[in-house]
Amino acid sequence: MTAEWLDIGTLDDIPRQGARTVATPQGDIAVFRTLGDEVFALDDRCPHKGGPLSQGIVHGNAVTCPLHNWVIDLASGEARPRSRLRQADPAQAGGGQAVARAGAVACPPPFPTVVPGLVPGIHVGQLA
Amino acid sequence: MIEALGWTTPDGCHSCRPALNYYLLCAWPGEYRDDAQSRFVNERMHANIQKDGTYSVIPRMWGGQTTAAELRAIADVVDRYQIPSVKVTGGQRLDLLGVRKEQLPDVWRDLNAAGMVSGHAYGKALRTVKTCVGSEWCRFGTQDSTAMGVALEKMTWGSWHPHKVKLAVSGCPRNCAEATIKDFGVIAVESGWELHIGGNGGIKLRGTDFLCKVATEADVLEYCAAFLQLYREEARYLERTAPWLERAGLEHVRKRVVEDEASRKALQQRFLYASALPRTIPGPNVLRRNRPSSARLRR
Repeated sequence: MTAEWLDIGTLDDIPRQGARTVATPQGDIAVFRTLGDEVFALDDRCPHKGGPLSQGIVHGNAVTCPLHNWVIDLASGEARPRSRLRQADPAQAGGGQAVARAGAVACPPPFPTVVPGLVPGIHVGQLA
Repeated sequence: MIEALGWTTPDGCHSCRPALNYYLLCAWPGEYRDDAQSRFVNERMHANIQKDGTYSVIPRMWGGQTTAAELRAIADVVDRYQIPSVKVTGGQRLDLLGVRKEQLPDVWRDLNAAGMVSGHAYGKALRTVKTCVGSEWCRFGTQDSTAMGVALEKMTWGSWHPHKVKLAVSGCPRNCAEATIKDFGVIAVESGWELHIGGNGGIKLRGTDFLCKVATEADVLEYCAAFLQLYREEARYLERTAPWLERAGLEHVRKRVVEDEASRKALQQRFLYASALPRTIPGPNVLRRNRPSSARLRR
């Protein structure tokens, strides 16, 4: 990780409650803009099955993955625990060890990977 | 709206926003401006997201009918964009699987140019109208079920619903189009058309309930529009016709759609008004071109 900032566009390039992606050699980065004009960047892959988070519905400081409705926190990149997951029977949860732990964050580290030049939770003023 | 109702979050969540968007669109079809950010990605892309992040594209085939020209245009699209998989669906059309997101505008432009529109195979919307070949070909057919299916599809396509809606028309009681597990199923008999409602396949199989028998094609269209509008107005978002019918009761639907002619015609008028509006948008064209530079923001 470096402290270097990349100019990737202006705030107006991203719709409110939406996202745009930036292609990098390490894969696509999803850049989100919330209703309150905060901007966040994450790998464009969910921690569950690699779903394209940039295509999800943005609400609050979270995005819902379009593949299986996991809610991903935009600041941390971690999946928010949901009641359905907390109630999951460990035996039924199969390989998803994180899913079976009550209240635990359902996100095996490391995620999100930090991409050179882009830090999760970048400030609006620094994007433009 | 969210503010007026005292929501605890300023912009809701992935469950309530699409629901709210639907209710407003249903109640004020001419006035409400659809909120793209409250729609699931499939309804924004006019394609169905798959496990690897690619999309599948299903052009509409009216009543399951196609032509050499349409098939040729589809084959050209498959070749041109090297679409890896083509599958015949359960709804009597063709599914083009493995289309990359950035290819979608071009794929749809080419399909539109050949006269094809979206089959809405991804939407909380009118999906497909399955038909058998009917009296035009079949030695058992009693009515032209294919033409009836096409007429139903031309009337209902583009309509948004609380959940997906599937129709079917069978040309005789042998029921080759499986009309008795559809949201609105029509079965032709010698003396007219039997109308059946509230069926679905899916996780919980439910056969239809018999609604009534009507005499003419115009009747079928009128009763169908009225039934769908009642469902649109009364069901909860993501509630299919089967659970809604069990909740609302068959008698309630009979009363509003069959016995009360004024109610039926009013429902029909509201349906025809609302479902015609989305069709004024030319083709599935929501996607903009990507910016050329890879270091820039793109969709």
